[in-house]
Amino acid sequence: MTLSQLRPVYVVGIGWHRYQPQSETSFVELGLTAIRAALADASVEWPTVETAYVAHAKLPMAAGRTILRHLGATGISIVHIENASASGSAAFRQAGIEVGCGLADIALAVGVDKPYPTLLAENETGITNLAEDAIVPFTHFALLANQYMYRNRVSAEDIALVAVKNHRNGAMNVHAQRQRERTLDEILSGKKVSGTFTALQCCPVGEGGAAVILASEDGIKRFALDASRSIRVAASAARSQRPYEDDSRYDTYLTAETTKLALGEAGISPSSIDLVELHDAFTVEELEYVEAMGICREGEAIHHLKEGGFDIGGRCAINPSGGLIAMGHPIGPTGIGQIAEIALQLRGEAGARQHRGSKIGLAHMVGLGAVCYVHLLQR
Amino acid sequence: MKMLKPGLYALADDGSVFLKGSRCSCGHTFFPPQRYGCERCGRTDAVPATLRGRGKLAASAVVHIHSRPGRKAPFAICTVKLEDGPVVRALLAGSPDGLCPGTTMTAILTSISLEDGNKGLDLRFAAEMGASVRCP
Repeated sequence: MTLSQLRPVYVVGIGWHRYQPQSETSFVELGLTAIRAALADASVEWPTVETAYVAHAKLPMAAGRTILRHLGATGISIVHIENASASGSAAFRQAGIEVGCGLADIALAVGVDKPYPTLLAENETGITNLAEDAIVPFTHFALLANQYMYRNRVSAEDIALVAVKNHRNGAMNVHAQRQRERTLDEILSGKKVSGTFTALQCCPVGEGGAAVILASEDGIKRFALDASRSIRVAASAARSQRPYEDDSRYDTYLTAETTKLALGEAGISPSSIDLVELHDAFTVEELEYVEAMGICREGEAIHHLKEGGFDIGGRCAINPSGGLIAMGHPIGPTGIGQIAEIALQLRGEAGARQHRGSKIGLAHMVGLGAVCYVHLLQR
Repeated sequence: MKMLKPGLYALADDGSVFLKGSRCSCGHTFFPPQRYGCERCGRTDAVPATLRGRGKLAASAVVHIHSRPGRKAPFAICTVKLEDGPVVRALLAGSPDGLCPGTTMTAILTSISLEDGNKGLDLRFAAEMGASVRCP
C-alpha cells in the first residue's frame, strides 16, 4: 500500500519563518509565524485543522502545544516527530497518511527548531569504534567528496560550483539564511573546514520555521479552498539504511532505492522531474544524489552543472530555494520547507526564482541513522 | 605500553596489528564488534573474528576544524576497505598528500598521550611500505 493508493492528498497552504542564525527569538514565535503564514496562504481558519504534526530535533521535549495553544487551543491531536535531519519530511508524510486514509480532512505539518545542544544516540550505544569521535558530518562527507573526485576525475573547484549555484538561488529567497551571491573564488578561499570543504560549501545550522497545510478533496470542497493553487502529493517513500556492499556510500544507495520507490509509486520517470529540492548539507551530496536519483547518469553531474542544466531555467532545477547550503538547515523545518518551495514553484508563484513550466517536483532528505524520504508533488 | 582501545585491536605474534571484528553464523563479518545482534539477519550468535589490519584506501581527508575535546585539529582521517571485508574509518598516520584511493594500507600502533598524562598506543593506518598508486 502506498500513499497514492489512498484518497488524494493536496498541499493547500505554505509558510515560513525565515531561517536565520541563532537569536533571541523564541521557538514559539518561529513556529507561530510559519503556521499563521500557511493558514493565511490556504485561507484556512485554525479551528478547521483537525490534526497537527510537529517536527523538531533540537528543541526540548513536548514543544508542540507550547506553540499551538496560542492559535486557540482546539484540543486536536498533536504528535511530535524526531527523525534527525528528515524530521520535517517524516512529519509531512505522517500528516499526509492521516489525510489520505480519511482520518482527517485538514492537517498541519510544522517544523520548528533552534540549535540547542543535543545528544546523538549513536554516541550512546556502548559500541566503541576506532575514530568516530573524530568524524562529524562534515568529515563524513569530506571523505565522500574525496572518493567522488577520484572516481569521476573531477576537481575540488568543480565540486564547489554546487555552492555557487545554490548561493545564487538563495540570494533571491527572502526565507533563506544566506541571501548573498558568492563567486567561486570567494567560496574556495573561505575558512577551511574538512578535506576540500570550505565554510560556504557547508550548510549553516540555525533556527527557523516552516509549515504546510494538507487537505483532502473533501476538505478543499467543504471549506471552499482554492483548488487551482492546490498541489497533489503524488508519492511518499521512506526507507532506512541496511548493509551495503560499500557501506561508506550508504546515503547514496539509500537515496537511490527510496527515489525508485517514489517514482514507481507515481509512475513517473526521472526525466519528467522539473525541479528537485535535495539534502545538500555539503556540496558533494548534490552530485551524489542527482546521479543516484537518475536525474543524470553516474559521473555526469558536474557536466550538467557546468552546462547550466541544474540552474533555474535549466533542464531540471536543483535546489531553487538555495538548498540547505544557502536556504539553511534548521533541522526540524528543513524537509517541510522543501515541500513548501516545490508547491510555490508548481503554482508558478516563485517570482525571481520561478522555474517556468514546472509540473513535477521532488523533495529529498536523508537523516542521521540513516533514514531517507522522497516526496513527489505534481501539478 | 597501554592500548587506548584494546577491545578493538591487538598485536599478532608476528608483530602485525589486527582488528577485533565479529562474524555472524549468516556469514556477515562486521566491525566494530558488538553483541546486540547482526545487522544483516538479527541473530545473536556472532563470534569474534580476527581481521587483518590491511586493505585498500578508499578516501582520506585532513580535518581543519574540530570542536570536540581531546582531539586537536588538524588531523587526517581515512576510509579503508579491509581485505577481510568490512570498511573502517580511522585516523591516518601523517598527511594524505600523495595518497590515492587504491593505495595498500596497513594498521600500525602509534604512541599517543593519554588523558591521565601517561603514554599509550592507538591505531592508525599508514601506506604500506613500498605501496604506491599513480594518482589520476
